[in-house]
Amino acid sequence: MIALVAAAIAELCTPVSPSADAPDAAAADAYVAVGDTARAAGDTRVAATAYRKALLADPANAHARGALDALCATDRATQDEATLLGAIAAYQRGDYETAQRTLETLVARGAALASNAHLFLGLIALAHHDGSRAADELELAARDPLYAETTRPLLRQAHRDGPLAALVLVAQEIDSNPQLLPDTPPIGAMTGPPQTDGDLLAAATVTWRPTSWSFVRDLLSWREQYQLRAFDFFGNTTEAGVDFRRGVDQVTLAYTLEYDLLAAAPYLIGNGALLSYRHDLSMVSIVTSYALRQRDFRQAMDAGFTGWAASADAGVVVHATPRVDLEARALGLREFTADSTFSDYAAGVRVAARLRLGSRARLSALATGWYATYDAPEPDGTQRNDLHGELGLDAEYDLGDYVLATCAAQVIDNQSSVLDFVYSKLVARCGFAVAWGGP
Amino acid sequence: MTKRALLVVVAIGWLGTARADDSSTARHLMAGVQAFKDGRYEEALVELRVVANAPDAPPDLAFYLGPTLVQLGRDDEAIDVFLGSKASRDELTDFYLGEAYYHLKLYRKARAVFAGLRSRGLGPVLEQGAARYVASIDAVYQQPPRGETIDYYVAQAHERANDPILAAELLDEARQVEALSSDHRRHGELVTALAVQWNRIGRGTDVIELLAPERARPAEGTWQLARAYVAAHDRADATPLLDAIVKSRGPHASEASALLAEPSSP
Repeated sequence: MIALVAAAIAELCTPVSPSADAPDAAAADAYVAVGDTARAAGDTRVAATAYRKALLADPANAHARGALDALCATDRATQDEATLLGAIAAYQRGDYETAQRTLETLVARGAALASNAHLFLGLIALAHHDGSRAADELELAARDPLYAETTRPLLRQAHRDGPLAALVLVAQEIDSNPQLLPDTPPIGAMTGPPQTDGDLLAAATVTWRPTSWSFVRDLLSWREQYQLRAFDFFGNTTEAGVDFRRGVDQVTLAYTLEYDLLAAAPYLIGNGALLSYRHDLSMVSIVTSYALRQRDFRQAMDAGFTGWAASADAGVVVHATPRVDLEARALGLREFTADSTFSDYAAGVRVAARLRLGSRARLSALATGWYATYDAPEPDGTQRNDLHGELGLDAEYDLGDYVLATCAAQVIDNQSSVLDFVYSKLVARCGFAVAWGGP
Repeated sequence: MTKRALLVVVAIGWLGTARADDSSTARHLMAGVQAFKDGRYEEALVELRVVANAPDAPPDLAFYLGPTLVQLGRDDEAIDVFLGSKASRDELTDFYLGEAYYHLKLYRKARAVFAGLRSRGLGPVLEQGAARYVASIDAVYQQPPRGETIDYYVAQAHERANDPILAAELLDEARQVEALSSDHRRHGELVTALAVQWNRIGRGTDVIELLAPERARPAEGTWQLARAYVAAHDRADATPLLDAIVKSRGPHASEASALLAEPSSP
């Protein structure tokens, strides 16, 4: 309906062809009177028709010219606003194709709301990981002072995203318990007290997106201990997946291959699959995932941990404010290991808060807790039950389009009915990262 | 002959005399009729409104303005124009009035117009059209109407309170629908509400026709009837009603007393 009305009015806003007849000021005034009455009553189409007829009768009638121009300008703005609102609604329901087509029409028309259109075109390009297009659109949106602040963090995100994206991190880390290696309880807990050590952490992630819905990612990390060189750790995780989005529903399916070295010796080979689903509502997203991993520990000391781990979670992400996201998930885990004393069921919760502080800083806090009960009793007959908690804080500060500073801290505490498995760990690190996306 | 062609013929008939003085009003009316004929209804409306603003506007302008408004889907305005005109309506104008009623779902009012037209005799095109409208309305009312239908019209009348002519038409429709139903408990309420609207728009004669035969009138109905008699300068019928209102000490007692105190019109 809006489109029909707008089209009719647009037709009335085309230039008025000059008449061959002599100007008739009296007739023009009569039409202007009808136009003014119609305009006062909100009868835009009749008013525009009357003003056009006035201009046909007397092209010099300034009142008719001014009133028709004003009506047409208002009508174009109203039409553009309705079109923009329609595009935003399409964007919010995940119909990016319709939203993009409509927004591009607005831009092509040179609408006054073009900066809004560029902003949403930038967001759509970001959703498609088209960093180059996103940067172009966001820079155009940023010309409007109203959007300069909004677009700044998005522009940095655009510069760091693309069909090929890479991030390199170098950080200084201090770890109160480096013996606590991934996926195993701390060796130190059984062999002696933990020993604090510093390390240099270097990590790199490279993501390649052959299409907007598929990706291959490789994550390399190297942790070189300053004193406990036996715990120098190299990790490599390769992930390949697809990411389907239809409207407000998003499904991700990914396969991961892990290969880790401990002190240059093979430590872990892992294979895993992840299936996750997200359903976006206006203020809340429903999230759930299921992961299955096969872990093969290559060192004799850890062989008992070799086996399968299946985990599932479900929860919600609440977009509390434009700057704050809150997340809560229920967790479930089942581990099958070669040594049945390490096989367990676990259930718990994870809560997280993600805050955007200004245009440059981001802070996230994550708390996880679970209770685990193990299949087989310990050799002394004790039934092992663990209460596990983790608390993490992660802060990022953008130093520029491609450089950011990062600091993080993590506390892990595990209480167990078996003394050997009572442990804790504190890790803190600060470093710099360079991120790039292109081409 | 189509409705449009008939309209043009009627207009040209008037223009025959108007053209003689070649006044600007005549030129605008002719331009309006031509625009109507070409289907440029917004232009026709502008031209006819220029005519309406002119001091020498023809008294039967509603014959042209009303159909133009109907063609533009502005049926509520068309009804105001048709019913507000002092000129007697011809068949074609009535046909458009019936259509405006029909578009606004005032089916009983539309049926009365189309049935009246058929009894007066029409050309074959309009006769077929009127017959179709009557048949379709009769199909709607094969079963007695339900209370919700009356509620709909009453609610519409409340919503259109700032358009008293249309509000009255909606209440009249409600009254006629109620007459078809098996439950007449709302009769008094509806005729009274209609009388209030008719008195507002100066249709006192219709109020008298509506309420005088009523045996059991609500107090408000008596007051409206008394007002209509006073407006018609019928003191003989107004006085006993006003006396009764004063004696009842009801909500209009002081107004009735004031009317009784007014000197009779010569």
